[in-house]
Amino acid sequence: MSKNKIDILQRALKREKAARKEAEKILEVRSTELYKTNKKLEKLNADLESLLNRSDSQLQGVFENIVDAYVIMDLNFNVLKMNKSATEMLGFEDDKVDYNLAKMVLPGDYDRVSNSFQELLKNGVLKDFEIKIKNNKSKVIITHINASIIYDKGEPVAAQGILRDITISKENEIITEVINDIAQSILGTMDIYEISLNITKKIANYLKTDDCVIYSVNHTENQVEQIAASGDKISAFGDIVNRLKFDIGKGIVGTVAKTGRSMLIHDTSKDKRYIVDIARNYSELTVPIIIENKVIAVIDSEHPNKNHFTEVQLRTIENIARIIALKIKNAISLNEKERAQKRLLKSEERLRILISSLESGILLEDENRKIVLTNSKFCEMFHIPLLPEEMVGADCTDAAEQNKILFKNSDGFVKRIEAILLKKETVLGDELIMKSGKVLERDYIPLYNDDVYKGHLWSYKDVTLQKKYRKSLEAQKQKYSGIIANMNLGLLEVDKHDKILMCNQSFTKISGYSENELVGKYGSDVFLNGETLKILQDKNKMRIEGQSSSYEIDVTIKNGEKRTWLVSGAPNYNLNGEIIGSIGIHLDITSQKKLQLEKDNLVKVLKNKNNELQEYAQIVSHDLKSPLRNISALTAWIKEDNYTNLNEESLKHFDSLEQTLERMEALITGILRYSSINSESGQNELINLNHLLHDIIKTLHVPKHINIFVSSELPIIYGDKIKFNQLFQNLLNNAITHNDKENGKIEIGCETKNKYYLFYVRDNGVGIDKKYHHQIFKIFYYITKNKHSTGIGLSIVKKIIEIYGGRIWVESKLGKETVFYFTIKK
Amino acid sequence: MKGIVFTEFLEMVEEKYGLEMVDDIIQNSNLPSKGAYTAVGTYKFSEMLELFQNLSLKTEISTDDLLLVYGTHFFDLLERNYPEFFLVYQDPVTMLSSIENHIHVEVLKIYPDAELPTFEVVESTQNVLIMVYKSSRAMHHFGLGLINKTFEYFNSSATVVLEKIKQDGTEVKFIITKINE
Repeated sequence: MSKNKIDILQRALKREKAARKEAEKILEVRSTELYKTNKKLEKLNADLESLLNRSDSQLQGVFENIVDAYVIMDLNFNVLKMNKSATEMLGFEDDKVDYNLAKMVLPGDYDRVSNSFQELLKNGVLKDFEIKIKNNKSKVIITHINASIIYDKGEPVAAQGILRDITISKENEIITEVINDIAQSILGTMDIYEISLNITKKIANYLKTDDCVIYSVNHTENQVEQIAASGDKISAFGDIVNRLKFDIGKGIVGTVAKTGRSMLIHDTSKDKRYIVDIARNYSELTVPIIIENKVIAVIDSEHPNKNHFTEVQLRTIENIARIIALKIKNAISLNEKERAQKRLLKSEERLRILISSLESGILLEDENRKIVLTNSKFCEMFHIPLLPEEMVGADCTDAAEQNKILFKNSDGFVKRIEAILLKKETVLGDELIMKSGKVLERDYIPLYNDDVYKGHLWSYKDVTLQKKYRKSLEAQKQKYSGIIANMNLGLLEVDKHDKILMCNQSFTKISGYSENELVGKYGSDVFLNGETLKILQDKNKMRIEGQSSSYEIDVTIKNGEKRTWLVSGAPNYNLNGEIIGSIGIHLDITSQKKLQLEKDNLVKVLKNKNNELQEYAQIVSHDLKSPLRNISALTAWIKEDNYTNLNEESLKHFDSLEQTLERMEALITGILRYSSINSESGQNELINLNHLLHDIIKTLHVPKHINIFVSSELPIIYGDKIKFNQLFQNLLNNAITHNDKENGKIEIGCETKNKYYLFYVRDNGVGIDKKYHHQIFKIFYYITKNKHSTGIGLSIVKKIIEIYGGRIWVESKLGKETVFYFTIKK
Repeated sequence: MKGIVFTEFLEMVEEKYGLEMVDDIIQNSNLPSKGAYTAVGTYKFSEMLELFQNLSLKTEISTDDLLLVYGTHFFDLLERNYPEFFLVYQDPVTMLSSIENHIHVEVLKIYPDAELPTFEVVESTQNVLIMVYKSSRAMHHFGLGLINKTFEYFNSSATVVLEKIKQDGTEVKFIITKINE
């Protein structure tokens, strides 16, 4: 540090020290002076006080006892003195305070206070000064002040003032203002929303909050709904945000709507009924708008701070509520009317759409026959080249005349409309036939409002198709009715309990009862008795289970005759598929039954006769055989014994006698065989005919010059071996016997046909004349007088073939060949 | 003259020009107090005059301009130490009008022996205030600095015309016209 600088600093320090010492000296002198002055002042003060006490006792009394607050302050607003009222009003515990009244001035009022104070200093008095202050207890009050300056020897030294708390009267003034304001703002309008909006704004302003909402109370729906709001509840577009709607009785608002009593809540967090709208608020003031003892709306205001609203405000809002009640009521009812109007318009619109899409042509005319409404179907039906909307308002007076050409009975159409319009009574289902072949059904409905005719409605429906269906249905029904009535079968319809519902003509014929006698009666009662009843009950049970059946039943008809009916019954269903009864077809089979019985009896008799005959034939043959043998033996003996005595002629006679006896025996054997052949005898088994033929050929005495051969494979058939043996044996014997050729040939063959086998036996023998072809199969018929021919062989063959369902015939060339054909059923 | 005027002045000089300048102007002046000032003391006005003249010589700034700066500086002191004065006023014109009746009254309470100038309000309309300054010290520019600052304080502005009634500056008319924005 330079010398110069040190010098400067030393000098400065020296100055500071000197200044300090000087100041200390001054302060010492001053404080001594102050002490002396203080002492003097104290004495003076005491003197003054006693003086004041003495001389102003009268005044003192006045001041202390006056109702209004009285304050003396110095010119710097420091309180010097105040009375009891002032202590209370300014929020002090007692009047001994050191307080600067400027502290009570609210920041916004500094200017006004200083101006007024200047005025006071200048004029010595200040009158009717009103100011809002915050007192020592932070209570905001509005005061009215009249003040004057206190002078001491012509110099102002203090100011005194009488203060009056005008908070309430001021409040009342504000209230009056608010009420007037509201009254004015809602005077010109009837719109509930506008009115409510105005009210909420004013109230919110008055209550120094942002949140005021008006709810309308709907008693029919038991609900409250926000209709107007202020502050944050209003969106940028002026609509209510989160428009609440809830039940009466719910929340604070709902409670007020229910009870009709106002509520002032200082802390909503302690009230469970509180409903948070867009944000939680802690203070709530809710007032009902009541008219004729009915809550029609609720005013609800909230504030974020606790203890925001006061009793005074509550009363103010109640007053407002009372004043606006009627207005609100009118506005609400007007609003409801408008809403109803809107609803009406909406439903009219819906009706319009409904009508326009109807399949019927609709025409609504007013009392002056002007079109109110029609639809496109109507235009289409009447070939009107306009849209339904274009028709509205058109006059219909001449419509009938204009449209009559469309209808077959044109004049009738016009006359009918005139008649209907004259009567003005509902007409339904008038049928109109159009020239195009269409059939329309028309309804006319007059419209009355409070018994005053307001117009009418025409409705046209195209029933052409229905009409056609109905006709074809009718025809079908007729057809079936005809069939039912005329069929030879008796038809009976019964319900589930066997009650007769319907019967046809045939049934009346077979039963002997007329339809009238039967319908409504129980079938079982009329026709049945104990035993047969049981059958019917069983059948009916089956019927109910849905089963069809047919059965025979014995009945007693009207004339007491017993008849047998064949009944075929089926359950009868209704449209829903439920069984509602049954329909039975009845056929009288009494005579058939009788015939059947007769036939059965006849067969039985025949069978017996046949058996008897068979037995007889066998007995006869058998019994004839032994005497025949005796005759044969006796004849042989006589011939032998007298052989020498007999002449040649007698011997010849004996030979002839023997031959006749042999033939007779053969005949009897044949008859025996023939009679023993019948379908029932013998045992059926599978027979290989190839083997059978082979065995037969072996056992036959076939002369050397005759060759028997089987030309084709023979089938295996099911039958009685003995019968087939007889069959082939007889045919082969015949062929052998009647062969006169040096090289005799007998061929056996078979062809397989669809349903049968065709066999043939061919020989190159004498042949059979055509005239005998039919007779040869008859019994005892023979052509040649051969000792072996009995005339029974072919009869047996034919009989066997017939047992097996076949037939036999012969083809022959006389002297050359004979072929026997026969068939056997497979 | 009140010591606070001296102490504040020297503080301003030290702040603006440094301690050397303070030392310099004191050394070059013939001061009975030797430049040792206390705010509660009272000193001869001639000492202040001498200090100003020396500063003016040294800085080559006119005494009036130096007084104007000092007035501005002094306002800050008032604002800092006596805010209650400002609470009472809402606008500069009102405040200026009440210098005589209020502020000087208060000053006298603190410094009973203060020798104060007089500010007589000659005319006062909404926008124009005419005041007459009277003081044997002729420190009108100090006053001007205070006036300017007052307007600045209230976020307002005005044109102030200074008209010397007496040539020596002991009686000066201030014509203050508020500029409305």
